[in-house]
Amino acid sequence: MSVRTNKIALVTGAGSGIGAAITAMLSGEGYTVVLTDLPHVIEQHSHQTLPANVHPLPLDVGDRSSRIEAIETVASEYGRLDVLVNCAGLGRDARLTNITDRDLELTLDVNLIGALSLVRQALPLMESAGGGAVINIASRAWLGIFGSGAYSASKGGLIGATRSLALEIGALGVTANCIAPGYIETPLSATLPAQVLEKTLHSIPVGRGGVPDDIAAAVRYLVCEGSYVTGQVLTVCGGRSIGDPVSL
Amino acid sequence: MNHPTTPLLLPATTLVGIGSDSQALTAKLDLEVYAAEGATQQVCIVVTPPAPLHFAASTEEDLEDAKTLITDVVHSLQSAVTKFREQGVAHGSIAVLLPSKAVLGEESSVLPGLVGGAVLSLCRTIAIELKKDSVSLNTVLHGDFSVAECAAIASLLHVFRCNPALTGQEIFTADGPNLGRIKP
Repeated sequence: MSVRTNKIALVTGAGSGIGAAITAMLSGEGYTVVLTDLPHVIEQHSHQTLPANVHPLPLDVGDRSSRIEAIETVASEYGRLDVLVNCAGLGRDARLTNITDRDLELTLDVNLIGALSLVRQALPLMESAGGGAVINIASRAWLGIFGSGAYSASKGGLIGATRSLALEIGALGVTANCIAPGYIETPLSATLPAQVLEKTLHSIPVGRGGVPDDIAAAVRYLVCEGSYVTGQVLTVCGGRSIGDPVSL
Repeated sequence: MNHPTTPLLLPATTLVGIGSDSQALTAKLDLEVYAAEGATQQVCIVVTPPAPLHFAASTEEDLEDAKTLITDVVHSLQSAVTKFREQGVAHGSIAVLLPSKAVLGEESSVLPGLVGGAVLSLCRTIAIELKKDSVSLNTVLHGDFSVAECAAIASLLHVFRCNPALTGQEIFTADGPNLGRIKP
């Protein structure tokens, strides 16, 4: 049963896939959810019927001024922030010597620098609200994955920063955790080559690919029941991370 | 240090500093003897993350500087692999030295943790990729480079040089700072 609250959550990358599932979950739990995504995605949502407690807001996480504007909007519209879920992300697969500076910078800007910039700007709002939860959506790629140097670096950086962040903000009543999804069926993962997809699915011990709701359930636990959990990485991968992804 | 006059049996090591000038370590890690002649077969990348700083006091520029450090590490790894290929090195070794504090986490260390975590995960992925190129990549999580620790690191670098099958490992050399803690 959901509990109606006056609490505010901001979810980045919420227009589709995992972010959309997290938004739906938080909305169902009674949060007022600020659904953020790139402007053209938000424009598409303007033509859809959203729950009354879901408010779309354009946010390009890789853009400094856009981040500042988004947090200022939350501050002026709601005066508080209780939950921040950094879900926006992108990947540009390439082996080490093929990683271009442009792709590296873009990946780090969105997945790592932008996410932490939002955390830093949001913390005063969370502190004044009496506490809250920061959830950074990382990836099991932080353990290492062939052909994803820039991506795994960005997610590993997110996890490394979150460990120290948890130590720093625990006394404020704010928890900081990471969720590391494995293979999740999203529009992005649907673009995988058929052979890679088949091997990936075969390597998942629970015998199925993950769905966005699997990650939303993990977020729900951390937000609704995990006030004593901080600085952790919750790997949601169907057990694949204890197998042998190297042989893929 | 006296350079031997006979051809070296041990391969040469090149030290690369990221984030600070780490050349003083060349002597402390006893690398000069290996750098006298011959093709470079080991690259030792020493990463110095940003100094601890309360996250609330950090700026956008601090985050950008951290990104630059990560980018520099990627460039150093690319350069090392390119060099190995150009020199036709049969078995190359890359060792990345990171402060254990940055990796394990501590208060006021979001920015060091950001860089440490990024480099650690980067190394894990690149170690997987380089298996096909007969290049090993190992990570040393170090402390304050005491004399005793430098001797331990020098020994490890030698082991990495001579054992190409030893790859993707993360070794703490600073008196077990990871004991009893969840490892990153």
